[in-house]
Amino acid sequence: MTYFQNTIVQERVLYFFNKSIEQDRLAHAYIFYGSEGTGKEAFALELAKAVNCLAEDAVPCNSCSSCVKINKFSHPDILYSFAAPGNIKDAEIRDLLKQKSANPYRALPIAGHRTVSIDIIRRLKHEAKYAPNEARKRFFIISGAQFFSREAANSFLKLLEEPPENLHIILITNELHLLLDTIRSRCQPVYFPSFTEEQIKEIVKKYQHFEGDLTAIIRMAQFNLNKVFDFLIDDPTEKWELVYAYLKSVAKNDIPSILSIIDRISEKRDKNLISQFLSLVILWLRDALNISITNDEQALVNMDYGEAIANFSRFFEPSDFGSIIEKVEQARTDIERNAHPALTLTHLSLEMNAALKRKTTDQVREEAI
Amino acid sequence: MKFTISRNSFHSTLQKVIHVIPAKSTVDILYNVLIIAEGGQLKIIATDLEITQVAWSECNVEQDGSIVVPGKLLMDIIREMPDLEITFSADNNFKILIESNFGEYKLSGQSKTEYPSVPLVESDEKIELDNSVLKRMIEKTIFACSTDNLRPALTGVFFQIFEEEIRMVATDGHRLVKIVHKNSGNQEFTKELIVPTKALNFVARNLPEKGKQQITFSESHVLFELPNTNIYTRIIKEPFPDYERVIPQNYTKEMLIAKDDFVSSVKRVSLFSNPMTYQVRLMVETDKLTVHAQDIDFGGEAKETIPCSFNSEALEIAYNANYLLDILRHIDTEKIKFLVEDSDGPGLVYPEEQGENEEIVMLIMPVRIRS
Repeated sequence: MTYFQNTIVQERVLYFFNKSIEQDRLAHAYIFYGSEGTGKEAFALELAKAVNCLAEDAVPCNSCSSCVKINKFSHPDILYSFAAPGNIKDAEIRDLLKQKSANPYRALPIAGHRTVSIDIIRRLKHEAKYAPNEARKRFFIISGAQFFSREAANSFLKLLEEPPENLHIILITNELHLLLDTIRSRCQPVYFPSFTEEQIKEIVKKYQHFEGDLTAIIRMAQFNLNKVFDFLIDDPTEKWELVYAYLKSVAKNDIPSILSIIDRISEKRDKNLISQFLSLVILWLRDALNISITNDEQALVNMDYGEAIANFSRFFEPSDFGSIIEKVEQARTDIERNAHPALTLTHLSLEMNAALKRKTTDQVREEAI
Repeated sequence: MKFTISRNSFHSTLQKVIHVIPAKSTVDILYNVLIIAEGGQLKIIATDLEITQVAWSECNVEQDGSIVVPGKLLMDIIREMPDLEITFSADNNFKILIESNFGEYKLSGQSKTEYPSVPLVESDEKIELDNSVLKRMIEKTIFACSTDNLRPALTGVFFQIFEEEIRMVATDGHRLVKIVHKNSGNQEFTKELIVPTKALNFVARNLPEKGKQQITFSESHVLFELPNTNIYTRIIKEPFPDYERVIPQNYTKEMLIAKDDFVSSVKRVSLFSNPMTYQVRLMVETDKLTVHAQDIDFGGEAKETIPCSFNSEALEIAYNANYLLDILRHIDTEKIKFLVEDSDGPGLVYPEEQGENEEIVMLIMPVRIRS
């Protein structure tokens, strides 16, 4: 019997679970943690499939009735719940599950305040009191474990402490430290590092038709698989143009142009959009720093703008980029914590302008030789 | 797949299982029913993952097959049809065509593979019970079950199968019912398990008046075999409390009272009880019983006296009127035997005479009277 032959997963995770399954020593509860886009939820489902697969040699087979049901979230003993807004409707949940089943590597598109509500835990507890329907081992998968409400967490402890036989709980979180100590100490943590470039390419091939080279997109997404899918659907070129225009105006201290760009970014009142924009600014500065040291355009994240970045680093003192990056990061944190976006961005632009030191013409000429 | 069937038998088959479909669920597939046509038989299966019900009827099968169909939609179509021949067919792309003299309906279904499988109940552990006995045992116990999920074991009825007798016990911590069916014979095994109340409700609803039926027990499921339908239910895997220890054996103080008088008196008086506690006080004397309730907050008060016979000195005891009425209503005899030792201990309620092959005990915990 071989496990996870067709599963794309980080090597250390694979090794760990291969051993656990072979020795039949699966823990009653795991926490899968690691940054966004590392395939934690997808692997939780793979694990449930592998343990319950009806095939006799390579599991999971993805074609037996058990695997198909788990893939479609209709397996009666494999329950997948996720942190959601409190007023979410059943129809919306079903819709989200359909999306998840189409591509388990994508994060669910849930906006707003999310919690793992007490209702979810009640449902799981209700389910736990019965004998399993058809599975050999039952799995309860809870995604977004950092969003446990207080009542839910406390109610959940009982189940976590005395789980019935053959029930495995998998908590999934991006932020391990936000979990209650009492929950964390009762689970075995499993760390999911980022995927490698090859792994991401392979996974993308499975779920999305894409012609061309993914390398640039993968670097731009910083090996975050979820972002890779985002960029595939929503082309980032437009955003780069905006970043380029913004930095140009900042460098020139062209205040009207800066303000109009800021208006454009903040008019939708979407924090994520602004934070994404600032991340791109940081990436740009990082590239500029990179090119000023190595002079290697191939190593850039943003290869389309290689020349512009090279020019940028030629005219400005690279030693200041570090402190500027810090300022941008600070602005991003502030906005995520509900600072006024337009004001923060304006302030940031002025500060950046003050910090950018233009090299003298002589210096530039000297370096060019 | 393709089959023809009369509207009436299609309707009655679907009608049996349609109530199993959950009103609210996050699992999409549960809103569907699985239809299987093979060997001259139409089988319809519905499940909410707790209960699975299978119903069948004769039909004319032209081509074997199976398909998953939206349950409510199908029911709505069939319900509105007059009694005609219906032809039901589905192709390999799960497109369904329903034809009758009136016209045709097209809808799309899904593959059978995604539908939860019918539980496998293969076991030699079977018992046979008269329908009337089973129905009676269910009705007498089910009301006392708890709805509190904190104590999962109490949300079902406890079945105990011994070689000589079958017992069913239900309790929610405030009251307890034990009903024993004696001399059920032919048992070769003993078994204890908890069956969820929801399933028992379905069984009671589907039970015909006459006949016998078989119950099969496996490790994780119970199967009730009823005429033209099977009901599978999951078992609650929790330890049931040791109820025998709660039932006192050596009570001597006994009150004998007419059931109807007692019930209606408690009903009337309890209208004046505190809406939070529903507390009614019973003052038992040798020849009369005084039922008293008072709602201090609103100043309402009621008091009634009814005749009874009691073999000890006077005693005052208080109960939650709702629990008390629940229990009294489920006694069938004209007179009730009410055993009580002191105002803090449990009260035991018996029918004046136990039925043939039957033993019923009901227990109710008192409300402590402030003194």
